[in-house]
Amino acid sequence: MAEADASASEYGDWYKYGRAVLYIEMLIAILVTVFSLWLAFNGQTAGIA
Amino acid sequence: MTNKIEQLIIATVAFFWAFLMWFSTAAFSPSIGEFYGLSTGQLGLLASSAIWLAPPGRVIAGWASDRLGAHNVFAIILGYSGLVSIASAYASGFWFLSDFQVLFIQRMIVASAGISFVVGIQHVAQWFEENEMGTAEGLYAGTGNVGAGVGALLLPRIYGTGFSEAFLHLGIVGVFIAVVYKVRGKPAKDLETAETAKANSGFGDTMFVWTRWAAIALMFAYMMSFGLEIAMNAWLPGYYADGFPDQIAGLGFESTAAIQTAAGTFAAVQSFNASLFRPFSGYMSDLWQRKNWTPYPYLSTTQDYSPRVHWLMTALILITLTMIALTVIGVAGLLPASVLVLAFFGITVSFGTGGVFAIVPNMFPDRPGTASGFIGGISTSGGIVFPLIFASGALPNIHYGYAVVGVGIFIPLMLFFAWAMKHEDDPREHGLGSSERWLGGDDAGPAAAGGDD
Repeated sequence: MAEADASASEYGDWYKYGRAVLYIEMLIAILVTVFSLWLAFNGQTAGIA
Repeated sequence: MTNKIEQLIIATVAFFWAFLMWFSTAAFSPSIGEFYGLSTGQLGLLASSAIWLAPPGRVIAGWASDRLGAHNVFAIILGYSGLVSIASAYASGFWFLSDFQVLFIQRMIVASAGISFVVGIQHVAQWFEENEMGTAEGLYAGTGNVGAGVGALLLPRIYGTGFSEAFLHLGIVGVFIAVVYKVRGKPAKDLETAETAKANSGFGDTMFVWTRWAAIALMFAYMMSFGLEIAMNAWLPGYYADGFPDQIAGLGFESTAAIQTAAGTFAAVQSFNASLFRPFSGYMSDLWQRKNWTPYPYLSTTQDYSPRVHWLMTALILITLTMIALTVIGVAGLLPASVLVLAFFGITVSFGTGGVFAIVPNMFPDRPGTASGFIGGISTSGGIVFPLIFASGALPNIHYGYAVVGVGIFIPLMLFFAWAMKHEDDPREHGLGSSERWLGGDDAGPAAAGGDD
């Protein structure tokens, strides 16, 4: 917790929003990967290709 | 909203749109091919032409952003590429040129919007502090890069086969963003920073950057990551269609259109992971810097940015390992495992792209545009070279190209990177010719007053 506070003060307010954006972007990438894997395992039967 | 956040948002939105315009031609390749009756070879030529202008264009754009200010250069690039995109919506034969030849030339000019990458890198570097550079540059570049994937997924769904209408709308928005960039953009956080970059944009400064072993090593590192990323963007759909025909047929994809859809979906894994994990890589570079992690014994530990160099070395090792893994899995014929490895591959590529540009502005803080132009420009030639090796008829089959490139090219490049980054004194002192030779007696070194550091 103390380290997180130190990190925040070192970087300023914008940094926490920047981190939130990069986590959202990573989540989108993971979802695209899961969709592709779903397709690789299930093919046309997945019904969403 | 603080001004630097506004500048980051403007640069990111502009780069996203530039990337969207860069790869919008590829998104409509089948429609364009059908409309003009193009052969497979002509379609391949149209696709590869998107990269042709990037190496020299980025070098010039990077230098120009130091000289003229990023807000001016970005507005010029988006302005002309937007106007030509509008014109390409009405492409028709002119003099001895056919309709398609006019469209080809116009789309090549539009694709040059991709040279704006280094302009935005310079712009962000002029606003953010050293300790937050990785995350800021990562958010800019990663979010912008995803424009290629978004275009491939959404443009054909929105416009169908109506590529002319798409080019018209993309161009209009491009011109609008150019005007916003010009009006709201500011070149640097203060006048002194902008003036320093401008003062260090002469021929000697350019030669100084181009001849530093460290800059050349970073250029190769970016070739191993971004050069590879754009090579794979073009290569992977065909790879999955040709490399796993039985497995794809076994999944029920049998018509040409269905195989293209499946192969494109598998290939998109690389594009999305390489783009969307890039900000995380910048964040990791910041984290390594804050924690002062320097695990590799051979690399220098004495530079202000040494932990970032060690993070990039980690990325380069992982890229090479996943290249070899792609070959092993491909030879084994395991399609789902190949897609999973490809996801990790995309992430390691993002570690490389984000890692490089967390270092560049810190190594050359007073020549960010010139350095970004060299490192981000020449390295894109990998996008042309690597697919030629992947497709080489000398290889036993289509799966072997990754391991051949990994072992034959990437390992020697990593050894060069380690050698260039070993110096405990300033690595910018090492290169072809001394700093005094390129920068003159008054500015006798990269750390002189008004110089880097």
